[in-house]
Amino acid sequence: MKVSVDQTVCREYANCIVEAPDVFDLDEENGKVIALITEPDPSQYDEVRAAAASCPVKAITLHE
Amino acid sequence: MSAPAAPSVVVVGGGLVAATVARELRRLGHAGPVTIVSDEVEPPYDRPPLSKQLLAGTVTAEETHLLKPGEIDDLGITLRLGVAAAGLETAAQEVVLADGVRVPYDRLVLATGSRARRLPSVPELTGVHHLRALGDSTAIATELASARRLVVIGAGFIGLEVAAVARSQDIDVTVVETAARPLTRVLGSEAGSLLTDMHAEHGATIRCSTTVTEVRGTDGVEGVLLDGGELLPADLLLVGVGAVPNTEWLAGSGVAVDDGVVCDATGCTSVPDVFAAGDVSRWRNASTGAQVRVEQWQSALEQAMIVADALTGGSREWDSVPYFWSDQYDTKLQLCGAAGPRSERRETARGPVVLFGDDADRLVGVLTVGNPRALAQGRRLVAAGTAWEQAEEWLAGL
Ligand SMILES: Cc1cc2nc3c(=O)[nH]c(=O)nc-3n(C[C@H](O)[C@H](O)[C@H](O)COP(=O)(O)OP(=O)(O)OC[C@H]3O[C@@H](n4cnc5c(N)ncnc54)[C@H](O)[C@@H]3O)c2cc1C
Ligand code: SF4
Repeated sequence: MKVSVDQTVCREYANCIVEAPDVFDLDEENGKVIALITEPDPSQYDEVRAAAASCPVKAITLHE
Repeated sequence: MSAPAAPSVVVVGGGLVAATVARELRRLGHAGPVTIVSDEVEPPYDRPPLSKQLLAGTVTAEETHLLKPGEIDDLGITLRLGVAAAGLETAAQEVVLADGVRVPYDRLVLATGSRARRLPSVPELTGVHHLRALGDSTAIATELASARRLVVIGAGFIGLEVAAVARSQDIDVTVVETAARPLTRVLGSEAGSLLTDMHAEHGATIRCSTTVTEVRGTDGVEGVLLDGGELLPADLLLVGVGAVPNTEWLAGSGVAVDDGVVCDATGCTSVPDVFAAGDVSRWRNASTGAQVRVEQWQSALEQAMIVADALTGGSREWDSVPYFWSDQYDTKLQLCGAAGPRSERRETARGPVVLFGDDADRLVGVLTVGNPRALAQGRRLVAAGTAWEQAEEWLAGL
């Protein structure tokens, strides 16, 4: 699985961080989402999927 | 349990839950037919922007659609739009539509959401609005363009968000609230004053402990009479006094309803093969044991995903800490968990953070203003049942 985020649509809800704190964070500079890990471990797949689904603006894309 | 042989799933309601159930069912490999029945003419769309970005003009109606163009075909789902479900016959496993058509199902998902509560004292004049559907939002947006004075009845989230958009367009705004503070039920008394301050800074007046006794106007709304006798002029009136679950059509169906469709922690109702999720439902939360009707986006999404899981043979339970956000004046207000009898507020560099505790000295809720990262941490602390003292230490370090 590969994770990509789109900062141009992110509205900083932080829902993704609640679901997968080890994979997503907010950029210190602009407050937008960043992926800390772009190729998560299979043990993290469930929480990464939950994070992508919980983003109200679909700023997170998973390539499975 | 053996895998079911591709049963047909019917979802009644065409909002967030419907779109999410349909998408999840396909992702989980459900091969049987999926039908969405909705009384709205639009395909499923997202409601939060209706009181925020859509009103402000920064998001278009198309951008609120939850299923991208082509996705409906790709998912192979059937949409029956513009017709309401009028009844349910669980013995025959059929939904009866308002036009008399019967839709058979193997599994049913009730997702009819809620509607804006009406006040008997408010007549239907031009300029009087409620806000629940896309059409309400576009109508308000049009009238905001020429409005000079907006009165909002009820200092709930939706009313306050509309107030914020109107202020940004230089419209005179007064919010009239019967309770002593805004959102006391949701935020507790201390945190409510946070909102009063925020609106005052932007020139909107929130008048608490005040009740509208009469709406004046002949063709269009002209003003509202307050209980103190004062007449507040208005050319636009929004009534934002909460929502009522759309359960009337279930009367006589055998599905148990008690301020929403009663569900266990997997979304199953009192009738086998009938599930419910979102604003219309009252789920048991597996971690707190409480039976709650949440009326929030994130919970509706989670419940829809759990129902899709149950429909495909899974046994996931809903156990997460409810979470809510509101956007007002470029500020993001976020609440996870619930307000409690105990609270502590601190001004962090990014904005105020309020902790809520229960009588047993546990952290039960966190409110943040403009600090999503703290909210994310706080939600985990609430989920872990963190002790009050430890939560205070965390707050001090923010
Ligand atoms: C203006 C507004 C702003 C909001 N902002 C936020 C926010 O900032 N944060 C947040 O967390 N939550 C917010 N919410 C709440 C959130 O949008 C809801 O929790 C969510 O929409 C619930 O989804 P649902 O699918 O249960 O219900 P809905 O989205 O209401 O969908 C129900 C659907 O069922 C249809 N229906 C009803 N009766 C029938 C019938 N008899 N037959 C057929 N169809 C029927 C309705 O027309 C509708 O299409 C907001 C809600 C509104 C109205
Ligand atoms: S949930 Fe979406 S909008 Fe929110 S921070 Fe994550 S990516 Fe951004």
